[in-house]
Amino acid sequence: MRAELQPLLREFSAFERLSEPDLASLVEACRELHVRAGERVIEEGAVDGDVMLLLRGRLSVVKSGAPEPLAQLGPGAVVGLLAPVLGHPRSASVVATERSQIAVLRATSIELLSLSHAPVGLALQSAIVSQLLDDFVAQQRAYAERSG
Amino acid sequence: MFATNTQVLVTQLGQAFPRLSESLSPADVQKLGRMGDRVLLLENEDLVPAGGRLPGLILILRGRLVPRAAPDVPEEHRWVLGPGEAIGIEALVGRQPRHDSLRALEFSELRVFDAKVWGHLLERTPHIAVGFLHALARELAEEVDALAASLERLP
Repeated sequence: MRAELQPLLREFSAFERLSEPDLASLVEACRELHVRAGERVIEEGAVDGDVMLLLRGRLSVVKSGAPEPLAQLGPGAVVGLLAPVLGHPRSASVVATERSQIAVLRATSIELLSLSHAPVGLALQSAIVSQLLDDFVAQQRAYAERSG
Repeated sequence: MFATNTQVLVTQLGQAFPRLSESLSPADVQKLGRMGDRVLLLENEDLVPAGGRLPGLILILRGRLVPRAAPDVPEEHRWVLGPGEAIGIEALVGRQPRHDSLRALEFSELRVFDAKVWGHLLERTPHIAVGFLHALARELAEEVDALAASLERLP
């Protein structure tokens, strides 16, 4: 099963140039998660250090009190970054809207890989920065739209 | 005893970007401080002439500047950038920067990490590149979080 993760992770643009051994060390650090539609993968208010790489399926970001989902996520998304990066509790929940396959990385594993395998660390930090840039642009647009 | 020019630049970098010292050792912050091109802009001066594109990551050490969006990127709103802010992070992760220039509102000092400098950093000291990205990710995460909080406060 874990060998199957390698080509799926390779589809993330940040990981496409990693060597086979480096990609294997990334796979080694990942925990695989399979969820069905309706299953919650992140709980609002929880404190944990998991960062999720969505390999297959779709996830929805929902927040208590919000009438609509905050975001819909597809393969290639890096999910749940803010809480581990900032050390905050989860600000929203993430629910699978269809069967999904996720690679889960502990924030501490990211730190360790960043120290021990510079190419993997660079790839991971690039994936994180790319996702945060997308989030930043989305938030900026939403703010501009809503504030007129 | 007087501080050398390099020491002043390193101190400025550390003060403007305190997150760097959380991700890098003092010696590595010092090495980073020696890299990148130092650029000074006078009031109303543009970093890149019209038709050009931001050369890479720009760290603002002092002054106030406004970014100019690239023609193919919608201008959401104009905002003023100051010390401790970065623009053009996209260039470090293989993307095209969303802005094509910066105009100084007053005398400003920048550090420019173009593709050549970044390539040098990746090749010679990849651990510094990792720490640098880590610090930028932390800064970005704080900005995303602050924007999300502002959005929640909107009626």
